Amino acid sequence: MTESTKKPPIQSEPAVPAGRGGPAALVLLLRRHRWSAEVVVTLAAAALLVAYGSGPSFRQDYVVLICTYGLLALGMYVPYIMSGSLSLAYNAYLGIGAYACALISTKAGWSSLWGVPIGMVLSAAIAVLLGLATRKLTGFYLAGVTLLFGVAFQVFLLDRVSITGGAMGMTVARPELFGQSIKRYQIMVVGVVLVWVVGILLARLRQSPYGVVVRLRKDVPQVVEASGISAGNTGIVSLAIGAAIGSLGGSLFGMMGGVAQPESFGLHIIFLAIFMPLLGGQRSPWGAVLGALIVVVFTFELDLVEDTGTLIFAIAILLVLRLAPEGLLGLVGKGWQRFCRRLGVSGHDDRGVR
Amino acid sequence: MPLQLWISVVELSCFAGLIALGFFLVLRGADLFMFALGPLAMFGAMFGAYMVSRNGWPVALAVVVGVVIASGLSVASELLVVRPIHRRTGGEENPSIVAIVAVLFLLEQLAGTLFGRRPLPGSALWRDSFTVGGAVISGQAILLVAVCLLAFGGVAWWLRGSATGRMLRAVGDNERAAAILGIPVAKVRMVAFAMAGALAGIAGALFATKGGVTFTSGLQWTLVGFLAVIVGGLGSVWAPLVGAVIVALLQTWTVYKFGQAMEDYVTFAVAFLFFALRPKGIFQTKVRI
Repeated sequence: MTESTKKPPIQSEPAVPAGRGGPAALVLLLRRHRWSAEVVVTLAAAALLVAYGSGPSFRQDYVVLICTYGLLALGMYVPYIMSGSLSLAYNAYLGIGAYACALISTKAGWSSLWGVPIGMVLSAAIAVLLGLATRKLTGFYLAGVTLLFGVAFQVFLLDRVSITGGAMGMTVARPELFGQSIKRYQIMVVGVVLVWVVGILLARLRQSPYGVVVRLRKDVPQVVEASGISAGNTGIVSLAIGAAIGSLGGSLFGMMGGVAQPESFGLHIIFLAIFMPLLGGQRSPWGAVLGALIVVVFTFELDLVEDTGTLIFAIAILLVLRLAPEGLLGLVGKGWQRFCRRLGVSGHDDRGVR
Repeated sequence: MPLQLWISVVELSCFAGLIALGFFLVLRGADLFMFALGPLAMFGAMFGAYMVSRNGWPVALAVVVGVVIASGLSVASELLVVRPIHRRTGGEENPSIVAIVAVLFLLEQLAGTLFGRRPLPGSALWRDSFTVGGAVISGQAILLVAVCLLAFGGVAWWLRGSATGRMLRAVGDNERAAAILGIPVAKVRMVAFAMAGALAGIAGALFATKGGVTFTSGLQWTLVGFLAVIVGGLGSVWAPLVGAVIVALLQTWTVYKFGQAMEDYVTFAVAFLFFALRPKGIFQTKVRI
């Protein structure tokens, strides 16, 4: 049994211990309104990010990169963290999102916004196909076949110059809505809002009956099957959701940069996609977003080249796996529990599945 | 196809077969797909090539040390990464895959940092070459075939005939039951990783002469071996070799017919078809009850 599946001993709703007002009462209040607190805190973080991006132009690219990686990491969250299906084709899903916007705007002359749903559906369809092919096999085979797909996709981008523009890539026209072209600043705001909405939705999904089934599927598939729910199908649906979210991130990235290039969708994306949710913490989708934020900040502040960056990230991921499998949010959570225990109240919300 | 290409097919088959045999051993002994074998082969080969070209080591010494390093790194990744994570998560699958993928990227980037990011030429152990019917057969190719057959024969005998080999199969089938029977599971797993790493190291050192070796070769090599296992299956020790021959034939023929880029598409298509239609490969383990 992993740590996350252990349940705390069931307690009755504790009153504030006598003689301890202030902090303990606050903890209980926070616990009761945990959900509202989550919304408020993340909304504040999103607002901060938008405020930061309102400065010079380069900051907007920076924020959009955080949002792109955030969506990539959130795309990993449902299939990989919740459902336990490791798909490694995320460079392709991201690329499909960006190239769908590019193709629809340059070849068909439509607004590149149409590329968003097309990319999402296409990515989800590919994820379903790959999932179905390896449905009865262990996770290693899914990882292998999706890795092969990612490699083939990269070759396809470079090789089919007539479709993808080869190594130069292709331009993504500035998206238009009702005849109005959308400004870079607006794209950034939309990006932040997207990450926030997807994050909130996934946090809700995690607690929903579907989310519980998906998470149960990871640890005890027999129980899911015994309840009359197909563990295999649940996993495949989760793969489709993840691929669609990843593609959304790719579209955002393409529209902001105005270009879709093969080098943006290399195999290092796969690596980041696995790494970010683990670094941030698995207990909440916000862990994935936090991981993305940290990765982007580190890549820029330390001026890491792609190559040495991967070396450092590879070492970091092994360290996180070995020493802090719960990730950063996990560490924060442990600290919170300790703080609560000192106040004499349980930090857990004991009602229902966490 | 010209005769020369058939010789390429044989070389590629033996190379992919050796990597696939490594996968086979770890799969049978630890129930894991050791994706990092390709990068291990690359690491050993790059080490050898670097030492020969920069430090003037004799080729044989460089190859032997390269193989030892590949085997040692394989054991180290089992001891330091895979095994502890496997134990902590109670044999859950995903953390092990993630750990192995992380080792894969780590080896790739480490080789790039240590030995440079440009392709290095592999040095031949046997420099002679022979002309047969207009096609050139290098001594190195003969060596590769000989080593490959020897390795397969040796492993086949070892799995059936030796105590450790039989224990390996038991551990792979059911680790918990094997532990209850008193089989030293940790040791057996370590042997599997050591042998797989050594096989990868040998394969890399012998194959690097063909087209040189870069730090990114590892992933390609892993995928070729992976495909050989998928096509061949796990039903017999020789199954990976059969898979390797089919994959090598198909890849060489596609490149000859349609050009380089098709290779990756066909590779993916073959994997996809086999997964969809014959997920356990050509040779499957039959269990009679």
